[in-house]
Amino acid sequence: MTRPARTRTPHRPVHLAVSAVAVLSLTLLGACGQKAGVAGTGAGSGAVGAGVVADGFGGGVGARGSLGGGSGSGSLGGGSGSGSLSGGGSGDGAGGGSGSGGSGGSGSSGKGTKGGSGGSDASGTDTPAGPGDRTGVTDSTIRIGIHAPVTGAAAIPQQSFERAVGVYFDAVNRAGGINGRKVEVLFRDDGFDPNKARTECKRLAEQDEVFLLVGGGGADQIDACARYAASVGVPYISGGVHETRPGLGSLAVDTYFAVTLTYEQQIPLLVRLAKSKDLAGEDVALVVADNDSLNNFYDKAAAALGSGVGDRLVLKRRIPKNTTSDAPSVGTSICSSGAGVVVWNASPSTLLNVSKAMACTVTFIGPGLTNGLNIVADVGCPNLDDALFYSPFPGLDVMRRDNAFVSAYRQKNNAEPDDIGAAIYGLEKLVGAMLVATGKDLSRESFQATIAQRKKFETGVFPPTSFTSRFGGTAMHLLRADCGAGEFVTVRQNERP
Amino acid sequence: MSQTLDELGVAAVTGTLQGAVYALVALGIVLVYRASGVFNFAQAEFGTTGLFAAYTAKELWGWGYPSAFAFGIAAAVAMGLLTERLVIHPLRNAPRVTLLVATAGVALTAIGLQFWQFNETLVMTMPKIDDSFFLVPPFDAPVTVQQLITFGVLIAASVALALFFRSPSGLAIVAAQQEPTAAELVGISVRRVSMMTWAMAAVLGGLAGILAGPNTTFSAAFLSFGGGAALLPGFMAAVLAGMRSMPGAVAGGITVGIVEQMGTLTIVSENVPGARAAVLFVFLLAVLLVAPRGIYLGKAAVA
Repeated sequence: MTRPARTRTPHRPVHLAVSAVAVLSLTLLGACGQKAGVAGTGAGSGAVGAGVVADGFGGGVGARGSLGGGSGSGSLGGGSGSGSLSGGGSGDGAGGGSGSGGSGGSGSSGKGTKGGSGGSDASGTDTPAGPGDRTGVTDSTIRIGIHAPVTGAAAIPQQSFERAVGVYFDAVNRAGGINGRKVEVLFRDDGFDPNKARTECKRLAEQDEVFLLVGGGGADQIDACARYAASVGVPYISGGVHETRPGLGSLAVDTYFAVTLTYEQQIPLLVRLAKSKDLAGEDVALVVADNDSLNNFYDKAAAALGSGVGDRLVLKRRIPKNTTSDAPSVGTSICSSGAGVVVWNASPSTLLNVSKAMACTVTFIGPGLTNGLNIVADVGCPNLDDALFYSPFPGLDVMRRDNAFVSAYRQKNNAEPDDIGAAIYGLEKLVGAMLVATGKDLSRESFQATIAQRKKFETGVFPPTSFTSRFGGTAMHLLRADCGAGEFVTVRQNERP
Repeated sequence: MSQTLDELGVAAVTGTLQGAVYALVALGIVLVYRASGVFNFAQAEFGTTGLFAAYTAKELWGWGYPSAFAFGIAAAVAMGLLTERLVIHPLRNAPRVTLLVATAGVALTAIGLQFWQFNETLVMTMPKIDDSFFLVPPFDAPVTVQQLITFGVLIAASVALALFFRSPSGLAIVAAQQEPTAAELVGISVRRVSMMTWAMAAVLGGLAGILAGPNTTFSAAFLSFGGGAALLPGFMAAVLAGMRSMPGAVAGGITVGIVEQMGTLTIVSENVPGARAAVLFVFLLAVLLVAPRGIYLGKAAVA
């Protein structure tokens, strides 16, 4: 992996001490589980020259660079403060500072140390200058990597992914690229396997030297890649999945950005749905895959449903991540419970197996990401008729009216678009908006700092973001399985918890 | 307490119906073992092959259900006959363990072919013969018509086999297995009997696969180790039948189905992760320790 040349930066002992204190403070704040973002920004006030925090969510890039050896980005100024920067950090950071100012930063330049760069202005469009980590970026190209479960339990058509990847960026490239750079997209199948996902992300980061990584779906795979990406300082973007994992802690790791609501953040939506007029009076079952990453969701959903629907919560159970031969017994337990509504959080293929094996009719509801894909309706109907799943992207009924998407898809593939195309298009469009906002002077540090600073990215496909923490989702789209149409249709867009 | 009783009732009904698939596989295993002394590890793959053929005919070629079903059974029989001609017959004088490994090789070859041919197909699914379902009193056990059809087919196959083994052809199988040389001397073609046995076993496997397939989605190795995994339960049922008793294989299959469902009871599954499989193996171990020859020994087995 090509890294920027390391430079030793002269510094005074006092700077080193300030840096050390600031790093320790920020590290402790991060370790205390403080939600990043606003709090982290405030904490950064005055930590000029710390040379660690890159993006304003606390924690910084410490996973990559140790004290004095960090990536050398500047720390944040105060929340309304100066947006000061300082590069250099201490010792041999990966480059000069490139951190941006805190929210509303004034754009003042970094104080003092070599390698520092100009701060961002309040709009966030003028990104800091400075070397930073520019892996994957040349004068003419930006290389990004996407992984998704083409094979494995998610069962997503390979051809759909091959067609989908790059639709948005191809159109952007035809129009001149992003800030003069063409975007090159590399895609890898993670096989719905966290170990394979990590391997593929490592390949993308270290062999292909991508600038950033994008996770297309699959909670455990996203978790594995996000944590790997944080360990090597590569920005990582995905739809929201779980927030924490036993033994590994919060997924709010350095360099990670969830662009839609996490599973936990979607619980109020699910409770509201279970209590809605159409489903009121039905008994409710909660069925969640037994991957440990969903423990927190399961506990919180059980508690929320318990208080939301009371005695109508008649079944709570975990099921194997890949339910195949267990499907009939899972189906039997759901049917025997008498539930008419099943709050479901497990893989699409498990959903298909269980719904096919069931000897009763229920309405499945659940959080996004992938259960609202049309392949699920296509294969799962009629058992999944009227299933309601939240999704980061609208149904194809809406996306077919998006002329830019349809024409970009047709131009790249000479075929009609599908919902996988819509999903990847939405994700790429959001990443594109972030790259545009970062500006010409693109580095990993400036990119992350821009997200922290701008917070809100609105593309019209994915719901708007609000990055007050690393979980930047604000809303979800609600889709319903329409077996007559053979696809999921959009019920509501941008529904907020 | 009442809830546990209800759960037990539901498990008994569900297990009986699930056990029908295991019993069909077990019947095929016992049939082949009785005729040729071979542990047929390819038995479940006869079913998967039949299922894939039926799927191809129904979903890819657009055939009607009856034609696709018949095509699936024909494909299973073809596989059974090919196995007998190309593997079992040439190895007829080889040690039993060689034949066992050979049948495992047949199964793995079939699985490889399934992967090769259907790797690009993400989700394979067949419609049920009948999509309806109902609750069985007094426990309100949920039952699909597809499960009932499978159980009915098991009953029909069992009766047909019982009648067959009283017919001259059936007696010829028994004779060829017990005294092949004497059977040849009285004009029974051991070769033909062997082919007939493998074809019948393949029909049983094919029925299991094609009837179980629509209950879930399926992929390669469906009836061996996939969503319809019935090879190990089928072998367990055959072991309960002493590897020889046909009625014992039916009883064994249903017993295995019920015991397996006991592992899904809330009181068990919440305290023992993976209880469904664990309960089954503990049960088999206990049976083997107490009654190593099996517990469902019919006249044939005793003989």
